[in-house]
Amino acid sequence: MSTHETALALEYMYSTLSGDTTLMSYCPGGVNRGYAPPSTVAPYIIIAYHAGSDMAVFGAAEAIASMVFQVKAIGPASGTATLLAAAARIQDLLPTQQRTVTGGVIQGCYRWQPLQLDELVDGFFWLNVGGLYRIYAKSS
Amino acid sequence: MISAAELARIQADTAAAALDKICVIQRATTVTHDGYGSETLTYTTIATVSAGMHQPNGTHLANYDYLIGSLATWEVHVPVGTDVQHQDHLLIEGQTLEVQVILTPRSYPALLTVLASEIK
Repeated sequence: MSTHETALALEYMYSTLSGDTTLMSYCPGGVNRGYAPPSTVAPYIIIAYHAGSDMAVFGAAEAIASMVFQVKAIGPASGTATLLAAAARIQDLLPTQQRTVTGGVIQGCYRWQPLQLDELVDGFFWLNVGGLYRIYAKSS
Repeated sequence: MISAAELARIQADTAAAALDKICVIQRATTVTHDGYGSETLTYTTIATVSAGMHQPNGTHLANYDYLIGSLATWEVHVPVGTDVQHQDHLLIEGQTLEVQVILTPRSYPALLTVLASEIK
């Protein structure tokens, strides 16, 4: 049975980021998909699917999924230096050349765009910083 | 001015007279992540108390519209001093409600009141 390519990408990003002690020291709230649950300690990391398409190869016999994920560190702007360090660490960790994962292959990953967003959360200034990462994945 | 002792008697008498239901208060104590980053909250019972509930009034709905929105919401009363926090789950007669607002502080409170919305 084949694996959905978003699963390959999520598994790769989650294991890579959550397994890095340096990054986890910057973001004790851990890595969360989509949203962080209530009472999550900030800063934390969010990974979220942004957009994608399937790339047919050799007559659509074996398609590669080209996906863009938003990966960012989030927290109060009073900790901007730590959040920026976390975003830089994400940039160090995620880009990769071809590597095999359970259920398929990550053909490559690179940061497609930097990302920085300021917002008010309950009247306090919060910072989101990271990037849009493009991941190519192929299911086995 | 009501003394502390008198207020304590009022609170005890009101709880005995007005709280006709049993409420189990549950709180999310652990978060586990799977290999894809999705979270699972585990709720643990922290207390079982008497409770009363009725429909909220228009002022509550207007004041807290930013939190309640279109959720089906109830006004739930529990004894003063009950440990209840935002986003706790209240299990009352087979219904699960999530605490959205804790209406404190109040002057001379006879009961602790929260606004909690139905989880379906």
